[in-house]
This record gives sequence, structure tokens and C-alpha cells, in this order.
Amino acid sequence: MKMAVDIGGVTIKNPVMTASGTFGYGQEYAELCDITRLGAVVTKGITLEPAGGNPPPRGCETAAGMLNAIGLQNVGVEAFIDKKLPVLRERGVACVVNVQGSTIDEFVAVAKRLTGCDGVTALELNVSCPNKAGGLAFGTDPKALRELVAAVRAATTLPLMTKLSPNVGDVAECARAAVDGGTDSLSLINTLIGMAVELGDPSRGVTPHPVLRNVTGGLSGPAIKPVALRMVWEVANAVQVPVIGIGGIATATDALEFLAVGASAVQVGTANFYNPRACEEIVDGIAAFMAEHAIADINDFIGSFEIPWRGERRS
Amino acid sequence: MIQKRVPIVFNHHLAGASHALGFQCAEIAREARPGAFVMMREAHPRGYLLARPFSIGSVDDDTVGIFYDTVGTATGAFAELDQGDELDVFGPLGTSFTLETWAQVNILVAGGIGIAPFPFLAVELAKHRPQARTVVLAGFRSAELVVLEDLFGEIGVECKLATDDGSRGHHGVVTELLERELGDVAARADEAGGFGPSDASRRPTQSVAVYACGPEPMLKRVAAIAAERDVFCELSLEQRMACGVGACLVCACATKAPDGGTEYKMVCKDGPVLNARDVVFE
Repeated sequence: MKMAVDIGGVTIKNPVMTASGTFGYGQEYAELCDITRLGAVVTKGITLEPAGGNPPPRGCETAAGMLNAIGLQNVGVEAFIDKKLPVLRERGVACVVNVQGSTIDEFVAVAKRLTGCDGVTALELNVSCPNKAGGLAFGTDPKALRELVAAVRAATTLPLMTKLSPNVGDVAECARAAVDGGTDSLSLINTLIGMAVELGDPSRGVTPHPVLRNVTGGLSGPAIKPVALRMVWEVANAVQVPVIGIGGIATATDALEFLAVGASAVQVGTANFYNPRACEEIVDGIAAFMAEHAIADINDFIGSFEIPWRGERRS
Repeated sequence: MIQKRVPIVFNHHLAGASHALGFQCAEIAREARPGAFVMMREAHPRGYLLARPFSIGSVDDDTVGIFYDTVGTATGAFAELDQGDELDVFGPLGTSFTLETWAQVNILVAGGIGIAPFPFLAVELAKHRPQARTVVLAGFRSAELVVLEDLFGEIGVECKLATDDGSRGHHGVVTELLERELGDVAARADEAGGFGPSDASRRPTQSVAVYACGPEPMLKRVAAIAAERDVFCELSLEQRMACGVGACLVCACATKAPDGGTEYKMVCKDGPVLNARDVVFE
């Protein structure tokens, strides 16, 4: 049974990755999950300098999901290379480093610093963080996105994955802009901007107020899966590069749905929080589905989604 | 750290919104440390996704006990569970209270359900520091919301109450009891000429350890009182969490950074128990 997939310039052993910001730097879950069984670990977003993040409260549960506004707290690229990367390298886990910056120069500097570091499998450009001033700007403006990707492309030989925002009118246009800029693959969706309101106690003078200190946050979890599936399907039909599906994936069935509509791989996010073994279970579940349906190579299943009454089929 | 599906041994109402729940897990019982917590979720969650964090409140053989208030969907669902129903738990997680101190008097300050970690702490302090006296100071809104008073009686620890409305114990906030208690300790030490020959070189306040858990305004006041008197003080903090293991970075708390500024630490990983000196309150 072949589960290896190409995610744009690099092959990983199975199509299950962790989503950025939901698995720390890999070590946090080492006691609860066998990370060596994952296709890849995608790290927390890394910036040039260490970043402290937003004041609390930073997150809350909502219907079938959660909001977060962490604000990209991270150790910075130097500490990441010194302290975090070696652990993943020693365990032989493919590592996709999520790269974040507030300017093109910062993205380029982080990408350059990571280029040539042993253990870095690929870079994922975080052009779609809704919780950082300017973080969304690249992800919602196709022209700015193309420029950013082209600048990073020129600065590194590492495979480039660009993480798209769902907070746009036409996600396919952004996808094409990133491909024009030279990205090797696309991952989507990042979180949807949302908010939660606390009604307070108006008669005692506590007026309705935001739950999150940042007021708005990014919505993730099963609640966003249908939106993610739709966008992955649209993008997979619009571009030729591999697409990585993200958004509310908690089970093998969820993952297979994304693969069916054209995703070459998936990233599992919020589900890790409430089921630290979610990624392992999804790897096992995909294998079981392949065995049950005599699928020898997962690539034969990817993109097999059809709309019978339209006679449409991808590729 | 253990991850396991475990059966509920008991789950009953205490008073007001407060409940006691025990689950059977020999591994967590063995590794439990007072102040540490477990992440807990129903085997088949009804209406929510994320596990919730609970301080370990008691350990009895292979049964781990927690004390909780019903405040939302998840805790409301927990309250409906029966003996034999299953939970998915992982833990123990986070830092724990320091048991090895020089203290001859341990003062445990609780606000409301913040009393949750203290039965276990009181038992462990008695084991580790048998010569020290332990007193619990517990604040509640009113008499009918008082919980665990009898449990501390069984453990053999004095429990002094404060209520906001004066219906039981001291009429006022629990931090006033703390000031009174620290005053008594100092007075007794003066009468006795200090804490004895072996302690002659130490100030009396260094022979007191304060442990506190409760609402943030209470913790802020406890920290200030402890700082004024240079008393050892640890706080158990609370914050919304998603993962419990330091991955999601949701449960941030402001702490003093080495450079004098503030930096965010994670209540789940760097806490929930922090030295009061290190916590920055708004």
C-alpha cells in the first residue's frame, strides 16, 4: 500500500500533517502521540525575532470549534534552529516550518536563515494570519501575495508552500497569484475571522463585551470544514500545483473527503487539542479505507471526486 | 503523562454549583502532585469539543478526585454523569505546589471553587512537613455555598471561613483572614522569642508558606500581602485552555521577565502553580 504523496518538490511518507499553531514545535505532544508516524509536523509560525503574542484571554470554544488570537507568540528563528529543530531532526520527522513576517524583507530573512538547515523539509508561508496587524494584507491582495512569494522564492531553494486565507472573495485568484509567484504548493484554509460576545451583567453595569482581548479571532474546528472543503475543491480545480487541505479535519473520513476533492495531503489542527492521537488515528483510518476499497496507491484516490449529474471530473 | 479512558467512581453535588467527581486511574493517581491538573472530557462529549482542565483535588488509592463548579456546557454535562460513565483524561499536567519549604505554618487561601486543589495539598503537606501546622482560609459568597469544610476536618486541618454576606465565619473577604492569620503567627513568634534556636537567624515570616487559588482579584491581594511581609507564596492560576500541554498558547499569563519587563508564560506548562513574585497582575 503506497501512502507517500508529493506536496510540491518534496515527498512525505503519508498525507497527514499537523497544522501550524496546533502542535507547538512537535515536542509538546511527544508523550501523547507517536510523531514519527506523521507525514510531517508543521511548526508554530516563526518570525525573525522572538514574539510575545497577545494578552489573554486568547481563545475560547464556540459551537463546533474555537476562536484563537494568539498573536504569533514564538521563540524566533535562531532559538527555533538551536533548540526546537534538532529534536524533530533526531526523531526523523519531516518538518515544515511555518514562516511569518510583517514585511517582505522579514519573510525573506527568515526563509534565508532556514535554508540549508538540516531537518527543514519545506517552508509554509503564513500570509493569512488574522491576528497580527498586517498579517492578512499579503493574503488578501493577490498582487502583494505574488510579490511576496516571488521574493521568498528567489531567496531559498527549499520547497515553498503558501497558506491561503479564506477571508477573501475569490480564493482561486489568490491561489493563482501565489503560483505565479513561484510557490510549489498551496495550503488552505487558515482560520476564518470571527468573534465571541460575553453578555455580561447589564443590570450591574457589566455591559456586553468581547470574550477575546483581541476582540476578534480566528475560527477553527469542525465548524469550518464545509467552507474549507469548498475552497480546496475550487483551488484544486484552478491550479496545477499540489494543494494541502486544512479546516476542521478530525477523522479519517474528513481527511479522505479533502483528498477526494483534490487535496494531495491534509493538515490536522484543532482536533489535536481534544484528541492528541487524532493524526495517528487518521493515518490508520486512511490505511484501513485503502485496504477496504483495494486502493493500492493513495494518489489514485486523490481528486477522484465527481459530480455525476454534471459529468464533471477533475483532471 | 497518562492518556486514558477511565470510569467514573463517584459524581455528586456538594453545594451551589459545586460538585465532586472521582475517576479510577491508578497511573494518574500514582503520578499526581498537588497543584497539578488533568484535562478531562466525556468519552462522547455532548455539545462541546475541547477537554477542560481541573486541579487534582484528592487521591485515594487509585481514585483521582476533582472538585468543579458547573459554569458552562462541558461542566454542565459532567454534572449529569453517573458512576461507570467514561471520561477521556490525560495528565497529570503542569507545575505543582512546593512541599519542601522551611515553613512551620502553611496557610492555604481559597476563593470559591479555588479550594479544589487544597484537600490533596493538605494531605501531602502533612506527609512532607508533619511538624508544620496547616490552616485553610476559605472564602465563599454565602453560607449555603460553603464546600469541603468537613473534608478538611477529616484530614485534620483547621478550616476558617469568610463569607461576603457574613452568613458564616468572618464577614468579608478571605484576604482579611489571611492578614489576621499572618498577624497571629507573627505575634506568637514574638512571644516565643522567634521560632526556636534553629530558626534564630531567620525572620518569622520566612517560616510561613502561603498557597492560594481563587479569582484573580483575590490572588492579586494575596500576592501583595505576601510581598509586604516577605512571605513565601505560591498561586494556582486559572485561564481558558485548549490543549493543556503548551502547544496552543491560549492560556497566557503575564509574568516578570528577566530583563524587568513582562513576558507571557503558559498557565498549562509553566503553571498553573507559579511563585507569586513572578506573576504580573493588571
